[in-house]
Amino acid sequence: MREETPEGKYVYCISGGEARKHFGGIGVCGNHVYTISSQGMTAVVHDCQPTPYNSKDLAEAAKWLATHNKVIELAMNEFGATVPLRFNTIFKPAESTTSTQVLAQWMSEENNVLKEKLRRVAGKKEYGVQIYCGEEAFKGNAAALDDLKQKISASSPGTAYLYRQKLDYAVTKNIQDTTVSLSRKFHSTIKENVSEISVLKKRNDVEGKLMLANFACLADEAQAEKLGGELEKIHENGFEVQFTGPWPPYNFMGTK
Amino acid sequence: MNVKINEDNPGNGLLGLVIAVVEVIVDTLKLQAVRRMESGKLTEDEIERLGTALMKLDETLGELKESNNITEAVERIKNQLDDVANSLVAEETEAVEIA
Repeated sequence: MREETPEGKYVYCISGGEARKHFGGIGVCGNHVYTISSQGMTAVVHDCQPTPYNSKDLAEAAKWLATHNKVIELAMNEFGATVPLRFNTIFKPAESTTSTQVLAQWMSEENNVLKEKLRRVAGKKEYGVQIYCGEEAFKGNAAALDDLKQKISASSPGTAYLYRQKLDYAVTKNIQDTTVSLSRKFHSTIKENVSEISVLKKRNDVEGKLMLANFACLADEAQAEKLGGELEKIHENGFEVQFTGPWPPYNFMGTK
Repeated sequence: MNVKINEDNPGNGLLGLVIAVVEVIVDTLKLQAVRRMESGKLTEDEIERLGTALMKLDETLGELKESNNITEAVERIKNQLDDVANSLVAEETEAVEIA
């Protein structure tokens, strides 16, 4: 059998239904993006070498990732429900089988799983919700710790040092407890307004701010609007809210 | 686990890693010291000596970092160590917190 050149298929995502479409040179590294359909499924791909994209240049890698997501976004707009695949998902040719055939075979074998995933996200999109508050918001809350502060100023240096440590622990615990209870509260409010919610790891990536909640939400248009309204209320209560999306539904591809 | 040290200056990179690990141990010692102080089993004099010893250890580590210009590197390594520890427990904890 004649092998295609280049022989790999870089796959962005899978959508339901069969469609033939050429998106042009919009892919990672300007590659030509097009569709391959089989078994009622359409894969959005570009031809590539069967080796992963790798770069030590962070800016270049970030650009590739952004391009990857952009292509999925276009596919979502074009075909509706879409199963996003991770960056660098490459199908390689197997013995006497082209990568197109390997891909078609995979779509056939995974047909039920893919259909279930497509059903799950049909008509919905993923949104990111991050809620922050300033660290100083907690410091004013530490009136109960005045006793420790007095002990620090009244003690000799070694003892004061240990009391200072104790004060640090108390402040940290206070922050943790408050964060957990607020996070739970936000979770239950937001859960009411969306189809699904996934709790993501909190990141402390903004100087001077504490991330109280980091959620991925799966919502249809009406739900997204309601969610926006709820987040507006949370913002009015003095919290900083980041509402981003729609994103490819990466966080709703695993088991429920 | 992937902790990066300075490739351009491996000597300083290694020192940074060592100090970061020592700081983690000292943090644990501090926690133990506070617990012992609270247990009521130590005399005032013992508390003062314990606190002074830890304070001096802190100061020495601070001076070492400053004189070798590795304060930021140590902070970075500690954050990486934190990330490793967090990634081991965070998802589990979050699931429990929310449940």
